[in-house]
Amino acid sequence: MVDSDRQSDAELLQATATEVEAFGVFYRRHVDWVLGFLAHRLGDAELAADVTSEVFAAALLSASRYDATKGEPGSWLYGIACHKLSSAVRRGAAERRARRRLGMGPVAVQPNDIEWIESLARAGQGQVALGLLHDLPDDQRRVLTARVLDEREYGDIAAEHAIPPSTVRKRVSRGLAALRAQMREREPSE
Amino acid sequence: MTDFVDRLEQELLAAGRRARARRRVRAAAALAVTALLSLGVVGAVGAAILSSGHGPRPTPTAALPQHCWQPPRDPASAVAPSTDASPSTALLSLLGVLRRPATNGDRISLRGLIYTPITAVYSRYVRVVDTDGMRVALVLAQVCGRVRGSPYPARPPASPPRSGVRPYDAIFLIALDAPRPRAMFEAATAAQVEAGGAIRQAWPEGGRSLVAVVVPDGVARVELSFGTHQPRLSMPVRDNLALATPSPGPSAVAVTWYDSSGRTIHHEQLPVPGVPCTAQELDLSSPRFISPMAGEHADWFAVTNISARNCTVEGYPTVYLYAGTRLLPVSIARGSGPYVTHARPRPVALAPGSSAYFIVAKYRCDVQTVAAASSFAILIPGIPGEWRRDAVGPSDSQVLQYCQGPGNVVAVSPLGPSLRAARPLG
Repeated sequence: MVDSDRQSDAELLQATATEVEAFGVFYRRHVDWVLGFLAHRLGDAELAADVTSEVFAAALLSASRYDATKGEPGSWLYGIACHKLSSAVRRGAAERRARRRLGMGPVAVQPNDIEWIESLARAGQGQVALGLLHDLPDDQRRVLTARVLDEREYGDIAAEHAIPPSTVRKRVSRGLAALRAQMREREPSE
Repeated sequence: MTDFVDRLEQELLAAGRRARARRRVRAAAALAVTALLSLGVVGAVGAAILSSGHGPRPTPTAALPQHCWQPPRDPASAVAPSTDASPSTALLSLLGVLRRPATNGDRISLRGLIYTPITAVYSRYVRVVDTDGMRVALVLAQVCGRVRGSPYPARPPASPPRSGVRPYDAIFLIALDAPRPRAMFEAATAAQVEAGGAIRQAWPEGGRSLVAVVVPDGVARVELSFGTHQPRLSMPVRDNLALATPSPGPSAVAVTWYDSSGRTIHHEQLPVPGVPCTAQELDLSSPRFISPMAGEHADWFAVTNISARNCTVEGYPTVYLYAGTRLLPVSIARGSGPYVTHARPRPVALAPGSSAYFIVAKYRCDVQTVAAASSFAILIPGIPGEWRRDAVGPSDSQVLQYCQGPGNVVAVSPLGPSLRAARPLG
């Protein structure tokens, strides 16, 4: 029964089997981009909320089977979200299988929730990229964050990391390519 | 953030707790059958009373197995191993509650302390804290190290552990007034206490949420935040522990410390623990070349804490240059010249995995190079022994050159918390 804001996503998933509160922290870290991504793709905030419930229920059920050798937790969750998205697109409604197994009740969506989810949808794929950013190797994530999110100069980043600016450019380029590849790999065909 | 996000979290956690309870019932049923079939095993129940004369004292634990793995214990018969040893000085320096002498009130039964990752309970460091009518035991224990990113390995590792995988000290909390089985959970490691990041939340029997934060000396109150638009929770600190029992809800995501005057305390303001690093706790990087700016050659080194505890390094490294087996007769200048910082050495606290940096720099030989350094011997202050590292190469411009006459001065910076701190403007 442990919860920590400093554990890695993989550690939180590992701890979930005995300490379900760890999953709460994992959920908080990722819920925004999952909601935004699904709402962006579905164009329906209420359905996106329903699918999001199913995504995290499925993640909770399979957290103990998460295998770090097969991918980072963010990619793993993105895979679940894409799978549930495909299913929702086919059926026109969210699956309920995982929630039924957990005995979860429905979670009502209020008008202010709709507004919030729609604002996340407008961020769309950018939210996904933010979620997947955590999965990049440390050296790529740091320079990519500094360059793209903080909009710092290559020279400035190079000085901070004591590496040549050309190396910074390479890492940024590789990081962006890795993000694009992760998103392409996981994207459902509709 | 919206109500939907909070409600979904509550639904998920409630469902997860129900699922875990179902698993426990199934496991208990299976265990009962096993116990009945294995007569004699159950006789050992009740032996787990530690440290206080309330029962038989368990044998101090043997040396930890190298890989720090132990098989899951049978909850019906296990006795937590204990040790009379002392925990890390770093942890004791942070937590006054552990430094105060034990009293009769600290004598508690630790029956059933069978948390698999615990490799040894520090029997002299059990303290009971009574706050707002709630009694909680702080139990200090040595916990199995992390392996391959997983907190607790489920099976023995197939290969020898990577360096740096060590057992570490952690504080466990037991809610003494909760119905059995008592709620017990890992509260914090020394590094987490120092970093201010450990918030633990548990739901003991009765549907109450127990939130605990272990804080270092000097923190009088903590405030938890649960996300945007959520009310914050203020908790007074007693004996390094803040406790509250709000209704179950979202998990806390951040904690702020306050001193007795209400001023915010940042963990960077904590006194440096002052526990010197040992040779086994440090690793030295190979030299890395820094592009010359004004004719100098400079290399930087990182000294990394590979242990599981905080420790401190301080001062100027001692540097010897070798050309093959020949010691080059250069002069060493500590913190002088244009290439390294002139700032005085200060203690650098190293959390597990973090590094201190220093620079070795020398002006190039303009006329004639007599020899080029092929390796370094580096000594870190207070650490016996030396590290040998090959010089950067093979380009001549990337090795320290020795030339006769003046100018054979090698500048060494003090150890600093960042590479920038080791440079002239650091």
